[in-house]
Amino acid sequence: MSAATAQAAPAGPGGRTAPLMPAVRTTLGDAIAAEWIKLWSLRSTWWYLGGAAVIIVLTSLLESGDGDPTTPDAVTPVLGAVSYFVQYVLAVFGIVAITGEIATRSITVTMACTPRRTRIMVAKALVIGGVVFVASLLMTLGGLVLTAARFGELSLLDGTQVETVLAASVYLALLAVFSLGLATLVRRTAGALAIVLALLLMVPELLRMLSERIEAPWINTVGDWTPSPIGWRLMEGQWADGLVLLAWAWAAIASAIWVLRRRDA
Amino acid sequence: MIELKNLTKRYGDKTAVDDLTLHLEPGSVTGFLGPNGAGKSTTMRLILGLDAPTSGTALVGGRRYADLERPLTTIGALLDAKAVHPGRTGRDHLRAMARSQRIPARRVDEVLERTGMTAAARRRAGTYSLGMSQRLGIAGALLGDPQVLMLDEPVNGLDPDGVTWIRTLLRGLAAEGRTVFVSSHLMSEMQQTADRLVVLGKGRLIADEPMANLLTATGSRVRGPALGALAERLDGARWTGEDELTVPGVRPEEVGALAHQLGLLLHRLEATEPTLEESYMSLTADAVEYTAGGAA
Repeated sequence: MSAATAQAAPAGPGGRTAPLMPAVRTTLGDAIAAEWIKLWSLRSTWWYLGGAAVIIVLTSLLESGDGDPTTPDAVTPVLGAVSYFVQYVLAVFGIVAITGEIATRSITVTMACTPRRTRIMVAKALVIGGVVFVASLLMTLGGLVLTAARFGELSLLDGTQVETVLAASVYLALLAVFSLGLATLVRRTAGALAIVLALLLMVPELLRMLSERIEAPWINTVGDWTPSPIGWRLMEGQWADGLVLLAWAWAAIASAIWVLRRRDA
Repeated sequence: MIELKNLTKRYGDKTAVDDLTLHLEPGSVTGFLGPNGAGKSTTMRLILGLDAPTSGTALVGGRRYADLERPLTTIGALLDAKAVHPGRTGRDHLRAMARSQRIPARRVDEVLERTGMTAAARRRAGTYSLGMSQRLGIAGALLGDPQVLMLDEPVNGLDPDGVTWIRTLLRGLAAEGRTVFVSSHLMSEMQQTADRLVVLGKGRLIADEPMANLLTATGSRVRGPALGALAERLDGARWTGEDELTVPGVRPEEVGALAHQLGLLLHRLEATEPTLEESYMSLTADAVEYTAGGAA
């Protein structure tokens, strides 16, 4: 091998150098871009987001709220109902982002392309979180406009309501990311969904009942810090509580990374 | 380009790959043979870093797979043709792979063209036949124009045209100076494609030889009404018919000369082609994991 070719990429005995591909470093951005392509090249993505949009429109049209329809307070229950119904769709959206690859074994291709598994997980979390946040924002804003139009009160579109929309979107995005992390641990769509449903629907209620029965109020406090009660408080403007929801999502993703790095693909 | 050193993988108390040491050099096709369950696929998974070795190392181009900056530009692999999301088109599957390594998007269309998948590329992968999935997998392996190609059973599900195409492709890639590592259970196919054979049995290396060493030498097949005297004089001669003798390793000229000397009448005398099958069978006879018969 001559000195000149030794400078370039490693050459085979046939004198070929690795051409085409100059030496560049890959970044998290490349993994995000690949996840982005994968997400939008599946029809199911459109089904989930379209389904969520339909739910939001229907809820906005049907939910009356229990306050005086001429005050901004009427909108919060509507948006609450919106997130309540749509959260299950978006949780599944987060779940299948990983179980869809595990079930089809295409996860092995993802790992062959991006051997750093932390990077894969972070890219997925950012893409799922980002897409759910933006989609929720657009859809709930649409729901808000529909509600305002229905009540004939455009004044409903004030700062408080926009803040509620923002809070609902943050809740839904973090819930989807949490579901993604959990599903990576569980590996199966059905199992992950069962756990998410139990956590959202049953756990707070069971803990409340238990705390009343054995007269231990702290148990109820634990239930208050599961994702769905935090979601309600977020929409009521208690933004600081959102940090605990962030911790839920972070913990799920961190454990997913821990397991992914140790488990055979 | 591929270096395995004391590579071992255990799943529970089952040893899938057992102390495997191997060097694969550029410019040749290395065939990877062994009975089902011998550890061929596991070895390939270890090379790609999909599974972590229990002990030992697997290096590609001197580095662990996990440390390769743009792995597809160093080694292209096809391990499981069906490991593609069925809802995604073949083209989108490759686009995502390419984007993860900053491989230019035009390269996707080049490899689709090269594998004959251009027409099918915009269909969803769930509609592909096994043969088309294999072609898509090979397109993925070629994507990064890598120096090393590693293919697990690429011939599976291909029609005869496809088999010939793969053979030509692999020979061409090796001729360009690349390292080609390909497993197959089709011995006749290996015989035509590989320069060197690595045979695995129960996770252990049982042969690593140039193809020529493993092919049986040209022999003879001879027919005649009374060949008893011939059979006695030729070592290894065995009856393969009522009036037919097969003599491995002895050329027809020699058999003919001997028959002439003995004054024997021959009806037919022909050369037998060298085959891999016989030496493969004797090598792996003790290492077959799943044998027919028994309660199963």
